Amino acid sequence: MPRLDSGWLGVFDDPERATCAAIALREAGYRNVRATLPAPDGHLLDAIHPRPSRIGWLTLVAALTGTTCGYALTGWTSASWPLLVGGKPIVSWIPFTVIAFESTILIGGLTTFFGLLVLMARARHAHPAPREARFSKDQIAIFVGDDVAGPAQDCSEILRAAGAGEVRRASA
Amino acid sequence: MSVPSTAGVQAAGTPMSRVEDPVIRSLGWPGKGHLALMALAAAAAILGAYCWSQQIERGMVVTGLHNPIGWGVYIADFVFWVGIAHSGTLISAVLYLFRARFRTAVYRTAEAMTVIGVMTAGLFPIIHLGRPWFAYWLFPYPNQRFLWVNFKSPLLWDVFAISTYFTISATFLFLGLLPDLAAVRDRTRGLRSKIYGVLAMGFRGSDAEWQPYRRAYLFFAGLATPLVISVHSVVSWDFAMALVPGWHSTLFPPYFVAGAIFSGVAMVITLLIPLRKSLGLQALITNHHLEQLAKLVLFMSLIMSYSYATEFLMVGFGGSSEERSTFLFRAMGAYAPMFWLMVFCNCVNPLLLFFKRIRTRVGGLLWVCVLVNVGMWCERFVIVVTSLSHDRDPFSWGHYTPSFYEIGITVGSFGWFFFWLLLFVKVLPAVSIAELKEEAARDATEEGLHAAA
Repeated sequence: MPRLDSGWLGVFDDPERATCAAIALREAGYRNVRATLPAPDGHLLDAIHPRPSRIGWLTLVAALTGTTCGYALTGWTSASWPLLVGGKPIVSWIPFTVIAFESTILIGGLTTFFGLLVLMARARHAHPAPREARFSKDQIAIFVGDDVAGPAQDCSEILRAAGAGEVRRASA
Repeated sequence: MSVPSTAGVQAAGTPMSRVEDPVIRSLGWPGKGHLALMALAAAAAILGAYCWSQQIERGMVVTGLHNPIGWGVYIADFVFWVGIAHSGTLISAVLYLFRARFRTAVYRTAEAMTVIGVMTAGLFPIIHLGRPWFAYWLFPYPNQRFLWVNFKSPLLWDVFAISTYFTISATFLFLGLLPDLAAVRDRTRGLRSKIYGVLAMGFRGSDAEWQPYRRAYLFFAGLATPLVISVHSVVSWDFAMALVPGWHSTLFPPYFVAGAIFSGVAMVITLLIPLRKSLGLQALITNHHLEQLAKLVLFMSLIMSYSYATEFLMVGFGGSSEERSTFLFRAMGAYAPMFWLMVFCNCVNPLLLFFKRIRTRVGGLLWVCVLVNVGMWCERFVIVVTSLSHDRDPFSWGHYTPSFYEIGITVGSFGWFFFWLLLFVKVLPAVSIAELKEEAARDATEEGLHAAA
């Protein structure tokens, strides 16, 4: 689907009304609905994105990679210079678990963070949303991008009916 | 019943702007009092730097350390600052997972305290090395002879635990700051706006950004929670893995974790009381928030008292005369004043928090928490020094008195800590704007529903 930057903008001062608008738009068949909001609102985000983000899979894979790397580093370095310390086996899995645990958290956490930055940068490019200073302060923007395959009904009526304080044509 | 997290905010404007405006205002140029405190903290840090430079120039002979007491104030400081660092992640991650709404107004300062606390703690093993230019030997890198570090040593676990904790805490802090940096970017002009814009990494608050952000924050909290438990457990194993009387105990990991939460939360209260006044954030960080934290201090104090009693009970019933001798030495030997000060500050003093009048009055609460911090530093000192000075063999018993340089470095560490914290709260939002807005919007919706009903 091509990126559509023009559409209708509805401005709300109440997340509840913005959520109602997003639900009404989705029920009317609009798929190209975006929002800019100053604080996360679970209901509104769930209304626009019914499926949760899959970033958790990235966290899981990275964390398991960290565990493997932790055991691999400790096991390999101990075996490469076999030095008997305190009567413990050369490759001692119990103490190495501490290092593997820390590697799990470290690699899992950092990958989640950098993965998030990449996902957010891609989202800004693929789904640009209206940007005004008031949308990071206390106003919520609901943007309905023009979509030739979308419903013929005028979405500005839905935005007004939901309680938007301002409805106008805009570009994102 | 909902927690009145933003109930103190009654000024004009929308619910969201009412929580944002005071935070943006708090980022202005610091007042005279704030600058004076920063200067005092910088002076203390310079004293510490001078003492460290003397130690580097003249060697470890300037310290009071000697055989058999090879660990002294530096290790006590290290454990103390790791403990202080503990509660930030507890408040931000653990209470987030438990959906404790009172955390919203206080967790940012606690997180900053964590990062700066670990920065401070991390200095002490390096200072303690004596030859800090060899500190990199602690990291596993392919050196000339491919001789690797000893992963079976608890001291190396510490290196990994502390460095991981610092990295993850700093990343978690930055993750929480992202939306707030974007908000400050949009409220400021010129160079400041550009700097905040760069720090905000282009965050715009679109649905497509918030959606993965919320999930990532949840998973980050999930990763940070076991980490926070592991870090102080690893620190406790520095002691518990040794066969020294007074250290070799399975009680140590939970006991250290509880102590860290206890001292850390007390430090958060100690910092928040003056900071909220200095930053004009009394409407956001209310007495209700402080009272909730005070209850946590009281609860942890009871756990600490139980742990102290358990230690003595185990020694009393156990068959080890060396252990019994060491614990009697703690309570009645040369360091007995430190021990009893610890008992008073950590076990008796927090009982005042059973009284609502003390919990809700900042003066009394501040004093209780300052004394808890004094008590917890004494605890670290008692654990480290009494066991080493009263080991199994009477011929190796000794006495340790910290030198001027060790005390100077300790004072310097407090200066270093407070300097960075005072700078932080003037440069970056000291409370989470985005989360407070979320709370404010939720409160407004609930109020609307109640009114409609």
